[in-house]
Amino acid sequence: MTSRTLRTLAIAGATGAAVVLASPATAVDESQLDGYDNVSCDVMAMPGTATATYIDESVHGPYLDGDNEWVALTLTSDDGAVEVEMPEYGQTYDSDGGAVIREITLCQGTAVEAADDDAAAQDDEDAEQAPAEEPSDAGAEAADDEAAEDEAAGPAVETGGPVREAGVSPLLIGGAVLAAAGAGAAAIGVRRRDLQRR
Amino acid sequence: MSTRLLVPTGLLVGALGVSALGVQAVSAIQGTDGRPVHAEGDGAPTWVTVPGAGLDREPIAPEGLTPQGTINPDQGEAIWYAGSERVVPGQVGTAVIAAHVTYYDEPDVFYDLAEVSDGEVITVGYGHGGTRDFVVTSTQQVSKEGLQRSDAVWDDQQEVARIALITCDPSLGQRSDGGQRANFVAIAEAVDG
Repeated sequence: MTSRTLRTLAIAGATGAAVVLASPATAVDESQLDGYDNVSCDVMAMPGTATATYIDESVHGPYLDGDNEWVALTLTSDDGAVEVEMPEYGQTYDSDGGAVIREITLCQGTAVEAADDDAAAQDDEDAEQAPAEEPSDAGAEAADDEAAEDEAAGPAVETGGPVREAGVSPLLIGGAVLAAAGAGAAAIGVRRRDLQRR
Repeated sequence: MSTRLLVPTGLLVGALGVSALGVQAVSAIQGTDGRPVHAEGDGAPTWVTVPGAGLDREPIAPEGLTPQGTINPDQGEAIWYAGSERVVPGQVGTAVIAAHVTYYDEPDVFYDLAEVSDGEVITVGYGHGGTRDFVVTSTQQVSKEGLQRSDAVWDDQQEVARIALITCDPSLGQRSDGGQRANFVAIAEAVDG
């Protein structure tokens, strides 16, 4: 039985970025989680400008429950979502087309024990294929992944700092208040004058 | 000694002399006392001096990734990155030192990092009072994506103590949300490895 919980791990940033919980239907492809039990997903807002995310054991590892393993990663940007099966520590995953990532969804679960399948696999000469591995990755995609793993990779360095938002000037607010007060006083004065004339 | 041997012998002796002078110069640059470098305790790095960036004994402290998986120091702080198998500045391997270039549009610690040039000497100081000098070997502007795949920063070299000073670079412009598109990186290596 597969259960899913969404937990928000967003950190309140200086910009007060709002956390948007991803719709489970769009954040995670159900079919990619087949074969795993106790599946749960963590959704985390990305208030910065990162176009890639780095999966680090020291950062993400503590969120794993029990014997769970990371089974899916979804990078959601304005241009769409990139889904990664079996994300690994030490790897950097990019958004689609270099788009700024708005949030990431990390799903964990426990591989379903398939005793019967294992027994059958021992008798099968094709047992060299690891049964727990993802069965349907295209060859070209796998080759790309291997090539990516060969490259040195690290996390994004976001050292631009937040930009001061163009807020309303205090001078402007003060001026507006004074103008409104003046208009009100003038209106009252005119009204009183009219009353006195009557 | 025959005249025929005098010239090559003289050249050899001269070359040895030049080498000796080079070693002396290198030793003067290193300024290291051989004391150990560690992530914690007296051997931990505590400050960095980057003359070209106008930094003199700027405090540095270890920091890991943000929950978003990025390196993002606090305002006004320089950090050395304790993650992704990066080493402590001064240890053989590659260490990362990072700080913001601006913060809320105001200059931050690495505001002038782009002024650093090749050959400049950067000094890291440690809790036990020792120092270690590094010579800048390269500087470059690199896209955010390019930095994440930079061998100079993220490879697993074990030949030399290297530091990568990193900040953001506004020269490639900003994204729609105000974030910058590029980083600036200065690579410096300890002469003695």
